[in-house]
Parts: sequence; structure tokens; C-alpha cells
Amino acid sequence: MAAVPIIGMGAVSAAGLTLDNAAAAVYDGIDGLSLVTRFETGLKQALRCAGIDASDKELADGPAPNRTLALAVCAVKQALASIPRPSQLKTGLVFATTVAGITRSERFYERLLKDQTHAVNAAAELAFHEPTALAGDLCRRFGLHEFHAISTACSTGLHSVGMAMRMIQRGRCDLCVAVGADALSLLTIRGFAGLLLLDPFGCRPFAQNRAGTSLGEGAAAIVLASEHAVKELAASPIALARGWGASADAHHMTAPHPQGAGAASAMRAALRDAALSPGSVDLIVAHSTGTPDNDAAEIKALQAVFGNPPPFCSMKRTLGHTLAASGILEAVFAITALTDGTIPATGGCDIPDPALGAAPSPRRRAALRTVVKNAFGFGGNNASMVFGKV
Amino acid sequence: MRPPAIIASAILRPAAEASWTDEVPQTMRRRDPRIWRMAHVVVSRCLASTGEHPKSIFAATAFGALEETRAFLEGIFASGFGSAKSFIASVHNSMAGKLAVDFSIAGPNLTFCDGPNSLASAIGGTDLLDECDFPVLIVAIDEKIELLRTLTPHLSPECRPLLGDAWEEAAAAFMISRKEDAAAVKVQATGPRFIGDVPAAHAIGSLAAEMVPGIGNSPELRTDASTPSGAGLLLHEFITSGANGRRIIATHSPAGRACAVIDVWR
Repeated sequence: MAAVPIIGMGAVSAAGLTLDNAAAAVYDGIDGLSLVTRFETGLKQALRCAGIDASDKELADGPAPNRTLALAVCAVKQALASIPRPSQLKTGLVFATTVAGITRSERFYERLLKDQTHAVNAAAELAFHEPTALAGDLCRRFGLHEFHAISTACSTGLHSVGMAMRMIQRGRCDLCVAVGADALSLLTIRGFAGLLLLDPFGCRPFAQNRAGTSLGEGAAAIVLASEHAVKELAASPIALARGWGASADAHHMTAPHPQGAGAASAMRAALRDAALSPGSVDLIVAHSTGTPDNDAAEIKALQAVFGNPPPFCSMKRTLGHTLAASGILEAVFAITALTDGTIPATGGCDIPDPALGAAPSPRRRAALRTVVKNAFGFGGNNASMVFGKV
Repeated sequence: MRPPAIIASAILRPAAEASWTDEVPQTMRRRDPRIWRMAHVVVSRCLASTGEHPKSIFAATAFGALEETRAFLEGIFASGFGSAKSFIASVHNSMAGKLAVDFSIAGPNLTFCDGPNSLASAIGGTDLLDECDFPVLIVAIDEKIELLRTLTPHLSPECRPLLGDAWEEAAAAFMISRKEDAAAVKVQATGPRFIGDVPAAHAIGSLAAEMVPGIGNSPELRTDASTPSGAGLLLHEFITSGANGRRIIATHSPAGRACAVIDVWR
């Protein structure tokens, strides 16, 4: 199938409130983690996450009913900023989230447990609990038409890009905005902590002493366009979405397949979709959460698909693990790395784990034509995308 | 492209089937969330009626495992401890992931969370898959939990049908194929489409007329559903009725301010 031009991108993360001022931090692999101060985590130990130091109102440039939506608005506004939108062009949306409105719902439920009379506030407090409510509000704000709201844990954001690419290829819309957004919430922090998945020293992807991940918050948006829309808008494509692969491990609810079988299957499907061989890939932006099992399984998958893998990196130490946003947020920086000709450093990986049999690349300049982005999630859910230079 | 055909379907109505729990495998009975058990049973029934094995799974759910989300949060707030199992299950796609494990389905696995429009969203989403990803198993499911009884009277009037006593808790499963099958029921869906402040009835009519020009907006063809599983029950009813002709199943999400339609015909 034909590659789909990307004509707009936006991102908000711990590395910066806009894409432009965050890219250098991501390439350098700087430590984006800081102490969580916005709410009490209830954990005995202070926790470092990749939080964003801005209010919901600042992010959304106006009122927003919850933080996930504020983050999404911030990213979409950037992505659409320079794109005129004539009314004859149909614009779709694929919205990815896992926490949706839980940041507000969990506080409401806490109050309700103490005092049942708080039930009278349910209409206002829960109006934006569901993923579809956030998607609908994005449509209202930005004049979008048909949409899907999806939730596949930490792979969701990357699936949103693949689905948006297909919506263009199938002729369902002229422009399609893929968005992934998740705010830090008590539910996710306590859930990951309960599963012993958080590294108290901050995540160290692919490192010998890696001991878990670090959570983060953020959002990203990618605008994909049909060839017809590109001409109509006289747009200059930034890059091309070339292939999407999706698979399930069908192995375990939280542990990855030890040989990375599902991850390998998603990468092979994405390469097949892009009509490219593994040898044509110049850079892989790995999912690489920093947990011992996940990183080991992903390296096994890379070796199964690529043999000796091309240069690869992780962005989690800088951006945190932003759950449903992570796949698309890191895809945005994978695309800027592609166009800038930069292989980013892997923050937190001071001593690569020799047992993995492959180590992430140091930051360096390189002529890049094709980049692969991976994202994997709970439930054994796998997504892989191939992006190419125009 | 050839319209998808429904080659198998099944439903589960817990309130009307006291013995449904007998169909739950022993290994799932004690600790697995109720909504996972419902999903397992309805999928087992669906697969038992066809010789085909699904390559992909699409789940359609408004809230996912809502009781597990509530239980996890209550644990944190009441005792400082939330169960890991509840947290894992609280993730919207946990059902689809569990089904992939239980039934060895290693292809694309997506969960659509478009409120009442979720089933239409999932059916429409099959259009985004490749031929090699079919047949697709679609599961529409939502659970009714006690907390909703407390909250529903305080929700906006248009949200009450989705969350209140009026809807029946259910699960529905459909196997969707792209193979030529003249006898099979065909299905297509449009939406969710954002409707803003346009009245839902008017917007649904326009959408149905756009999808099936000429007759889509005929009142005698249309039935409304207020939940994904409710839409699934209507779809299953049409399939098993053996009737010729077509039916339009319409849904509206007050929270998303969006509507969707499913068009099914034989």
C-alpha cells in the first residue's frame, strides 16, 4: 500500500512543552525525571516520574475538564497549527488513551467513599471519564469528524498512528489526526508500584543494573494526509508513514513472551506492510521500558527479525513511560531524528547489559532513511511502525 | 472491497441465564474478574458454532473492567493496598488480552472505547485490517456494577439509559469473515461521528441515510441501543431470526457527543 505523508506533528512531555524545544533533550538522553509533587502518591518512598511542570489551564491554553485532555489539546494544537483546513476536506481522529479521565474520577471516588452525599456531583465529575468523551471534545475543539477511541495499554499511541494511516489509505478521510495522551494518575502509579515495576533510581533501559521503569505523562499528535489533501493544501510532508504491524503475544497478561515472539511478529508485519526488508532499517526506537524481562525480550525480538540489529535507542529516561502516549510521543521524536539525521542517546544506560547481546547506540550523526518504532503493552499487545524519509 | 460477513455469533445474558457460570473454566472461577469470565463464556459459545479460528480480536466496551477499577481504588483509599490483579484487569484492553491468551489468537488485538458506539466502531474498524488478519472475533461487553446504582440518579438524563437500571448486562461475540458467503449475514458500520449540538435522532437519521442511500433512514428499519452489548444483542437477534431484509442499529454517546450506525442485511 502507498506510504502516507505526515504533514504535522506536536508533542508535550517532560522534555518540553513543544516539539522543537524538546528534541535536543531527547537526542542527548537527559534525565527527565523529577519528584512527583502534584499529588500524594501514598508510597513510602519518594517517587521520580517524568511529570510536566505546567497547569492544565496552561497546557490547554484555557479550561480543560481533566489533565489527559489538557495534554491532548496541547499536542493537537501544535500539530494543526500550520495546516489550513478547508471545509471540503474530511478530517478524522484516532484517539489513544489508557487513563482518560481517571485523574478526576479517582479523586471523586475518594471523596465518595468518605461521604456518599458527594454522589450529587457525579454528572460534573464523571462527564469526561470515558475515552470517547475526550475524543468527542477534541472533535469539538478542532473541527474533526469521524473518530475511533482506542485503548490497548502502552501500545495504544502507536496503534493510533497505524489506524490513522489505514484510514487515509482506505479513503475514509482526507486528513487524519492520531493522538495519544495520558496524565500521571494515582491509579497507574500505585498499580505499577504494586507490581514492583518501578525503578526507585529511575529507569535504566538496556543497562546491566536496570530494575524497572519510570512513569511519565505527555501527549503527541501526528497529522497524516492523503496525496489529494497534500496537493490541495500545498503542504510539505515531514516524513512518510510506511507500515503498521499489530500482534498479540497470546502468552501472559503482564510478562512478555520470553523470546519476543509477538514483538517480532509485529515488526515483521510492519516491514511487510512497508514492502521493506529488515536490512533497509537504519534506526530502531525501542519500547524499552527498563524492566529486566521487557528489555531482554525486545532484544531477542530484534535479533530474530534483524540478525545483528541496526542502531537502536530508548527515550524512556527522558520522557518517562507515558503509557498510551509513549508509542506516538516517541514516534514523533523518531521522525525528527530521521529528518535531523541523528541517532539519539539512551539516557540511563551507563553500562549496557552484556547478557543482552546488543547495546544501544551512542548519540551520533547518521544518514537515516528508515526508522522503526516499537510499543508493547499489558495483555501482550504489540505495535510497530515504519517511518521513512520523504 | 467485499462487505464483511458474520459467520458465527453468540450472546450471554447473565440475568436470564443462572447457570452461565457452569461454563466458566475451573481455573478462572475463583480469582478472575467477572467480566473476563463473561467474555470467555461468550467467546467459547461463538467458537463452538464455527470451524474457523479467529486471527484477530476486537473488543468493544464503554468502561472495560469497571468493577476492578473501583475495587483497586477502594483498596488504595480504604486500606492503602490495591490488588495487583485488579490493577491489571482495570486496563481497558485486559479482556482482549486475556482472550488472546485463552484462545491462542496472536494477530491484531484492539479495544474500542467509544461508549455506546463501541460495537459500531469495532465493526467499522475491521475495514482497517488486512485480508490476512481475518476472521476477526468481535466481543461487545460491559458489566453492571453496584456503584452505578448510587451514581445514576445524579447523572444527566441523557446518560442514565447507558448507566441506569434500564439496560441489561450482556456480552455478545461475532466472528467476521471476508470470505465469499452468499448465505451469511453482511454487516457494515459508520462512525462514531461527532454531532456536536445536533439532536441525536436527526444526526443518526442523516448518518443512516448516508450509509444506505434511499432507505437507511426508514423508521421501520431502525432500532436504537444504549450500550455496546445492547447493540450486540440486537445484531445477534437479527442473525438468528433468519429473516431476510436489513436492520439499522443506531447508537448515541452523550459523553462523546457522537453517534454511529450498524447496517446488517441478509
